Amino acid sequence: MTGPDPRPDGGAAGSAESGETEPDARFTLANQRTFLAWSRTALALVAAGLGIVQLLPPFPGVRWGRHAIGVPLIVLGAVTAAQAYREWTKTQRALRRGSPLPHSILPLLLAATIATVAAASAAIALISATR
Amino acid sequence: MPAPPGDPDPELGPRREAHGDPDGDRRDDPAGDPYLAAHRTRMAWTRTALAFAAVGAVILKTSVPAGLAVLATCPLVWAAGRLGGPGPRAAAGAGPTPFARRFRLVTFTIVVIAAIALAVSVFARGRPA
Repeated sequence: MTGPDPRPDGGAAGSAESGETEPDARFTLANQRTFLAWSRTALALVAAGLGIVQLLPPFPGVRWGRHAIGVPLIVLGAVTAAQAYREWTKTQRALRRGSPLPHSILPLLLAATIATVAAASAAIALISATR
Repeated sequence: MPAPPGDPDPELGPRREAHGDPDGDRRDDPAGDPYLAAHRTRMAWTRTALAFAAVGAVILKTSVPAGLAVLATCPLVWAAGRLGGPGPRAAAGAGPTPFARRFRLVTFTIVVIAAIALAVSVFARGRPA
């Protein structure tokens, strides 16, 4: 490192002039682990979506049923990964500035989407059973 | 307290001392691994690499080339957590945080994998009735 770097995503130790200092390593590492945990969640969503579309037997009478359940999960996986990186940078910036940690929308996003997909799955299963 | 002679991993030395000696608590020692944070982060990278492998195996079931491509990222992700990773220097907060680039890469890889999964979902034939 040759000098202070105000980049929020952690390129340097920072400086007093920029108002940013390198946070406690435990906080930095905890932030990294949070990012990695969300990345694993994203990968699990992609695997679940693909598994539903490709490995489940089709719903009788509802040809689009597997896609209606699986595709939103795959899309949610991509969105989760991108948002996890965005939140990692915001949290890292807050840690370096000593400001309050930003609010995460990922839990709400995940809960809302999974609840919607669960409701859609129940509806598709019911429609399939009645045909 | 210095690491025991012959210790194969210098980073593990202070932790072993802390476990073996009640007075050897190194939680506040920046030269060690405070609260095993660096160790837990390396394990998180390993779990993430395994998650990449699991997704690769699922994709392999429907598209062999795409599945192999995803599986090939698994050792790279594992290595990303080890090479220049959170050793004693980073744990002490004494050096740069060299993770922004590799985090961008991990994010990009997951988005590409999601796109592959979407393409496989739409175009590949699923399990027949």
